Amino acid sequence: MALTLQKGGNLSLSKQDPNLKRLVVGLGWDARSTDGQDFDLDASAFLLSSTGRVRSDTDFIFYNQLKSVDGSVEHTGDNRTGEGEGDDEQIKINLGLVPADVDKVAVTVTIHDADARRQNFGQVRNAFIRVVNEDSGAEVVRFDLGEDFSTETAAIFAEVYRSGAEWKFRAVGQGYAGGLKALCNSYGVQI
Amino acid sequence: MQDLAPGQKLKLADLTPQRQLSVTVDVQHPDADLSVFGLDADRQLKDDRYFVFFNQPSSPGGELSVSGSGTSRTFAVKLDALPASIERLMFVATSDSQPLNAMRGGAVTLAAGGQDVARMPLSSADLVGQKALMLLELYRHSGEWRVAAVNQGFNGGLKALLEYFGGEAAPDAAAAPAAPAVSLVKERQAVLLRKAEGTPGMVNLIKQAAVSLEKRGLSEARYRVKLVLDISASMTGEFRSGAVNELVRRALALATRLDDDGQVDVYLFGIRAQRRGKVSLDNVTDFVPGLKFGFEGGTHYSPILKMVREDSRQEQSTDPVLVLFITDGATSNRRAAEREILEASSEPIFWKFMGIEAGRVDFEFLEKLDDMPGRVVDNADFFKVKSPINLPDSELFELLVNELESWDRDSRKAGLR
Repeated sequence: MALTLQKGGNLSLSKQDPNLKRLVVGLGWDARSTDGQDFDLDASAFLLSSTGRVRSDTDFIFYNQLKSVDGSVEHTGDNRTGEGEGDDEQIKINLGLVPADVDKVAVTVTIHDADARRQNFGQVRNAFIRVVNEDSGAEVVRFDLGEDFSTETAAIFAEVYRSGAEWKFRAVGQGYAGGLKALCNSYGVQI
Repeated sequence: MQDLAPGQKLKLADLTPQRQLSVTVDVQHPDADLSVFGLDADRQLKDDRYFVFFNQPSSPGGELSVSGSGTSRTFAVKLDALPASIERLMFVATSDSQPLNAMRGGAVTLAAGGQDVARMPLSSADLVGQKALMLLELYRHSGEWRVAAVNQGFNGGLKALLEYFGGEAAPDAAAAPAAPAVSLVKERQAVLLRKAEGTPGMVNLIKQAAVSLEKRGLSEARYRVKLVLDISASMTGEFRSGAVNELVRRALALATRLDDDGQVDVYLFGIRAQRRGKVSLDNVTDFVPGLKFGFEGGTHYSPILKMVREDSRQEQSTDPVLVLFITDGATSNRRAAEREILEASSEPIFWKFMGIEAGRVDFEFLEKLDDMPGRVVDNADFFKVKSPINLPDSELFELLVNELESWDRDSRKAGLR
């Protein structure tokens, strides 16, 4: 039985599922049910060192750079409209391959072309992030972000981070104005 | 006061501690209806009495009510009085005739304790072709009320909105090609029928009217109903006897099934043509007795035909017009009247002429309407009766809507609407 976290909550992935080696971070949201421009939400991941910054630009995993150099983090590709059941986008993390100088993987979502389309996270419904054990298929933890956003155009959904010998998951749910660019800059990536 | 941008959400408590609010929606749009939907947690309209709009200006306990007119309305909201099952209040603007991006501005203003606390300016920049627009939402979340600025909608108008809110699903669309806004029509018909209970005899008339419409597959058709009354001197008896009053009630009964706002535009004509406002369930009892006019010494169809055509055009509605034209005399300017009917045959107007045959009247012009050549579609029908109110209502309604279904079909085919 997966645990559902509230905003700010955290959980030891290692304790929750001792067999967890390879995990799938699934992200979902509802496509707009009203008429107008489609929402195109993009998930990204940042491999962050203990300073909270990337080591280099190759630590930014997104739709144009789907896999980290070490192969530990992999984006499975872009879903353009958020249609369909289940996860809209997935990021795979192989915990064993995460380099020792990477402390944290931040999983974020941005709205493509948000300003031009006059869109923001306040208009996105039923957003969630969940962690699934890729080997067993079991859902380990889940975080529903329903009410956490307003007019932001980028958001940190969650972080997977080291805590001593353990891996933990934190439900962040923090929105950012300024889109992908602002988010990247905050992690030390220049785009 | 805080400005709200679409997508913005905040706690009501951050704006005001009050629980009695007013939401004022003001849109500069030629033909928008403003309403509020009281929805359950799943955004479903479970109780249509919590759909508050101009024809149902208050919810059962007065928790929601609307005042104002046209495209400027104020909704009074008593949050604490709402039943627990109502978890979300969605304020919407809809227009059946023109997309809401036709609006030239507007705002939704939230006020409490006599002070404006938040305002969402409305801009057509966010819109494409939406005919229904969700504006602002007040909703319960984790035990407190929140506010969301929405400004998103549906091209399909109120019908799409009602489907989204889980209103009655439309029947199989194949049965009625290009069916009008089904769910809304039923909703409004139901509201008007309940309202009619306040006027003796009206419920029965409405049900009779409904039967005649249903038989013709027009139970959800939408028409603007206009009533034209002859006030040439020979009509004096019909007015005095109450016959005209009875006819007005029957025209209104039809309108409560056909007309979007359940009102009938009333016109008088003799030599001249005049607009005399609207009759609705609110004023039907006193309408005819309250009409002040002088009987006129002539019967001229063309000025009134012209006036009705002009008004129909200017209302810029996508609903066609049904004109009930009641006269007891022949027109003295047949050519001009003929020309009006001929020209009007390319317009979305169906003319129903009722001749009251008191004495010897020459209705030849009206009787030959059916054979009038040169028209795009057959846009008129005529019947005559000696004494309309002595007819059983079921027969009268049959006569009043006879041929409407063929015009309904032909006018669509001809692309008039």
